[in-house]
Order: sequence, then C-alpha cells, then structure tokens
Amino acid sequence: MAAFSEISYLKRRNQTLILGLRKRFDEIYSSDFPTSTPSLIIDLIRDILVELSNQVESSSDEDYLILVSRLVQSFGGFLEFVDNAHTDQTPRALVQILEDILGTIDPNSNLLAWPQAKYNYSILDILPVLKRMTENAFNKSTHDQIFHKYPDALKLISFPRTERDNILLHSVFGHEIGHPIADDFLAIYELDPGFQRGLKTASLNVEKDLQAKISKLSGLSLVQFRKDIVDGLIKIFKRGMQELISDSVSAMIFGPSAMFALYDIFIADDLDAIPMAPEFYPPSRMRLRIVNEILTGSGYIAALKKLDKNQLPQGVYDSNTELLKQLEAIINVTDDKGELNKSPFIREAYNWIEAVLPEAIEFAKKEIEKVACSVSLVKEEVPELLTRLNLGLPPNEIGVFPETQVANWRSAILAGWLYRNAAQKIVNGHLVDMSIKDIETIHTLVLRAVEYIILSNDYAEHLKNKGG
Amino acid sequence: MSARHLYSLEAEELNYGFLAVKAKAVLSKSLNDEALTDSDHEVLQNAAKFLSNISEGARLVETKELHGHKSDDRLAALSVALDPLSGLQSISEDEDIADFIGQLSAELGTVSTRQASHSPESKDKLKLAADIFGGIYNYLNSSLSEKHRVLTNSFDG
Repeated sequence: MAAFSEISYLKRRNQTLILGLRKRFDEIYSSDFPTSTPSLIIDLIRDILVELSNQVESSSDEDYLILVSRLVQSFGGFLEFVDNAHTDQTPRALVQILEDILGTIDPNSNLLAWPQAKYNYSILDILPVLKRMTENAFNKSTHDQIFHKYPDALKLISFPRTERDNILLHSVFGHEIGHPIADDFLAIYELDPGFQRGLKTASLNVEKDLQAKISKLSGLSLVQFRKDIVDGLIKIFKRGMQELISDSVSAMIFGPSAMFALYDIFIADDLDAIPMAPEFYPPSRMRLRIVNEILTGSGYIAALKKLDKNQLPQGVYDSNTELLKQLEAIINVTDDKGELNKSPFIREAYNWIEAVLPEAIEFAKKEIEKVACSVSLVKEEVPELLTRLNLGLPPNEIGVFPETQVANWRSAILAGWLYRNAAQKIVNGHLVDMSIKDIETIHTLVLRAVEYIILSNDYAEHLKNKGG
Repeated sequence: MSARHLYSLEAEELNYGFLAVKAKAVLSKSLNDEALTDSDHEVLQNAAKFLSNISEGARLVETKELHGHKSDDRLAALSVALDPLSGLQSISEDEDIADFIGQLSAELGTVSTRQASHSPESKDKLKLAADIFGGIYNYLNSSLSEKHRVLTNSFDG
C-alpha cells in the first residue's frame, strides 16, 4: 500500500467538506421560518450531498473528485439564503405579501424570502440551478430519483437587510415577481419566427458596422467574433426585456407605489447610463418612463391628481403633486435614447426591444390579472388611510366602527408612500418637517397594517371555506 | 434587480465540467477496447449531443438561423468550447468548425453501437474528441478555480 495517494487524499478532503456542509445546514434546520420552503431546500441539498458522498467513495477519477469539491464549495454559498430566512430577520408581512401574490399567479411554486447584506433585491428559482449543477455529476436515474420528490419551483427572493423594516420600498417585490413572467414570455417568444427575424436584423446591422474587422478574420477567430455579436445581442435584448417587463409588472401589481420605490432607488443613479456588462440594465430614465406610461394608461396618475386636497392631511397633496411634476420632468428628457445609439450592439438590441415590448406587456397584463392593483383604490381607500396615518394609527381599515371594512394592502402601502413623500406633520397647529423617527413610525404602522389585512383576509377565507 | 446570472453561469460550468471529465474517461476506455457499461453509453450520448450543440452553435452564428429551436444550449456549448478548440493543433485556421465538430459528434454517436474494434480513422476522431473534452475540463476548472479563490487579498474575494 502506497504511503501517500493523491486520490485518497482528495476523497478524504471531499468527504470532510461534505460532512462539514451537512452539519451547517443541520444547524439551521430547526429555525422558525415563515414558510416551509427553507426546510425543503435544506432537505434537497442534504439529499444531493448524501449521493455525492457515495460517488466520492466509488470514484478514483482525480478530475471528477476535483469538480466535486468545487460543487460542494458552491453549495456552501447557499447557506446565506437560509441563514437569515427565519422570522427574526424576515418580517412575516413581507412573506405574506409575496405569498398572497405568488400563491394566486403560480400556486405550484414555493417561496423563501431572505435579507442579504448586499443592497440588492433579487429572485432566483434555485431548483433549475441545482438540477443543472448536478446533471452530469450523477447518472440520469440517480439524478431523477433525487429531484422527483421536490416541487416544480423553489423561489428565493432577497431584499437588502438595511431596508428590512421599510415596507414601502418592498413594493420592488412586484418587480421580482415580474421576472418569472418575463422569462415565460421570452421562452415562448424565442420559439416564434419573430425572434429569429429580430436577431437576424440586429446581427446583420452590427456586422455591417464592424465589416472592416470581420473581413480580416477566418476560421475559429471568425466564429468567435460572430458568436460574440449574436450572444451579446441576445444577452442585451433579453436583459432589457426582463427588467422592463418586470418593472411593468411591478406597476400593475403595486400601482403608484412601484414608481415611488423606483424613484427612491434610482435617485442616486446616472439616469442615462447605457446597459453595461455583465447585467446590462436598461437606463433608469427609460425604466421610470415605462412605469409611468403603465400608470398613466391605467388612470393612476390622473386619480392621484384628482384627490380632494381638503380630504388629505395637510401638505400631502402639494408635496405629491410636486413629486409627480418632478417625475414628469425626468421622463420627458430623452437623453437616454441618444445614449443608446452610441454603441451598435445597444442600438440594435434596443430597436428590437422597442418592437417587442408592447406585446410582452400585454402578455404580462393577462398573467397578473388576478393580483393587479385597482385604480379605484386611490379614491375609495387611500384618503381615509392617510387620515389614519396622520392620527398615528395603522392604515388597515376604512369606515367607522362598527361599519369598518378591511382595506387592500396595496392601498396601505400607497398611503404610506404619499404620507412619507410629504414628510410633514402638524405640531401645535403648525406644519413642520417630520423627523427620521416619524418616518420610521410610518414604516412600522404600514407594516402592522399589512400584517393585519392579510391575516384578516386569511381568516375570512377560512370562515368561508368552513361554510361560516 | 439581480445577479441571477452568476449562479446560472456557475451551474453551466459545473454541468459541462462533469460531462467533459466523464466523456474523456469513457473515450479512453473505448480507445483501449474496454467494455462499456450502460452508464458509459449514457455519457457518450450526452457527449455527442454536446458536440452537436457546438456544431449547431457555430452554424447559428454564421447564418443567424434558429430553425425554431432555442439558442441557449447551442451558444453556451460553443462559448465553453471555443477557447479549448483554439489550443488544438489539429484544427486549421480555415477549417469549417461546424462541419468538423459535427463529424466528431456523429462518430461518438456510432461508438455505442459498434461491435468490432475502431478503425484507425475512427480512433483518430475519438482521440481528438477526448483531447477536446480534456481541454474543456481544464478551461472550466480554471474558471471555477478563479471563482473559488480561497486565499484572497481583499474582502471582495
């Protein structure tokens, strides 16, 4: 027997890694999570790790063993998804909103919300990622055996931990919910002849611009160059579509709150920055413009302007009218369009986007019909909810006891935005600026209201199902 | 508003990396006239499909024709293969890559049904395919190694 074998060393190293990671997931398993999805994810990863351990035991291929160690290291990154998904770090109201929406439009999906240290909202269906990572690590029957026990989708939605208690900004969840809808549209559109036409036109136009370079290439270098053109165009096109469709969905589900949240996020941006690798986000000004178009088309902007000033807490009408003017001024500038024309790739991809986006927005409208915000809420619920906020009460219901009615959580969030945008309150008969503590109080009141509204609705549903 | 592609990219690299390792090992067995198992045949089929995707990817970027299929797998396969292919001496600068890789894919497809030993021409193709998969593994392992640097000089990794 050899004194030292690199293969044996790699095997032991892998088994130690696998055991270590299993223990870390085990430690998190018993936490109090708002949904069962974190436990499902841990179960699945544990199943994969058990099978990997079996494969390590039976393999003597050094390269295979090296890749297993890379795979286990990658899985280690998933710890952060579940680490803070427990109720201490993830307010129930956030998960309740997401479940309320996703449970209606995609009942087969399972959801996990987690706060991340990075200042970023994101959504990821972890199931296809795990399947893809392990597809060739195991043979097909073993792979199928592991995954057949689990649901169709395990969606992870992250939010910036700094903003954990800022329920108003979480209107951005509407954008994240839009991503799978955008992906569904693109999956269908990619098989449509229109996709090929769009790609061909865009690629040939870019090749025309770069003809001087192309004429000097042949063989593999030419394939590489053309691949970069086609791949680049598809990436910029798809990323632009994904973001713009998702923004539109956000406006459809959350109404004007979606626009206020985007304004809050983009306020520090160069509004005309062109899409850049690796994420290729569309210019922020274009995104605000499209959201505004959706809201204008659905009557929200007109409804906000028509609110009776005398019914609202002092300062709310004037401040929000000024903010809407500011937003109009932003979107009426068209510098972003000029910037897009400076690169042939971006220009062609965005000409393509412009042609297809209206069809995609129509598709999204149908997909989210059951969870769409209603413009009537602006007039029927928001003024009373603003009055409640002004009195220091959660904006959860309208009417006077005993004739009260549970409000829509979208109205509660919109009232919160309008009140916070005003950032003024009456003290001793005078209108004064709110303190940061006052703004925190708005977040807390709206958070409570949303929790109350969703629990009340669930209870009413429970009674209805019981025949009560 | 997200960085979804990072996970998807790593998943692709691991997926193709495992395929490359297994394909190289099975091709080596076949070249040594060792008996192949059911699992080996499954690997060969997957490897043939992967080479076919590279070939179709090369044709797609030339013609911009999709023929009603999605582009993802073809462009992803072509992307991971181009760098390793450029390191192979046996591919001349004026080679039609789509045809060349298409022939290797067809050869892999026939290995599982072959009864007798490989002809010298077939052996050359299988050796070349094994070299390509070896190159792809090295390329992907380097890329994964870069992503998983353990000792870094900043908190950014």
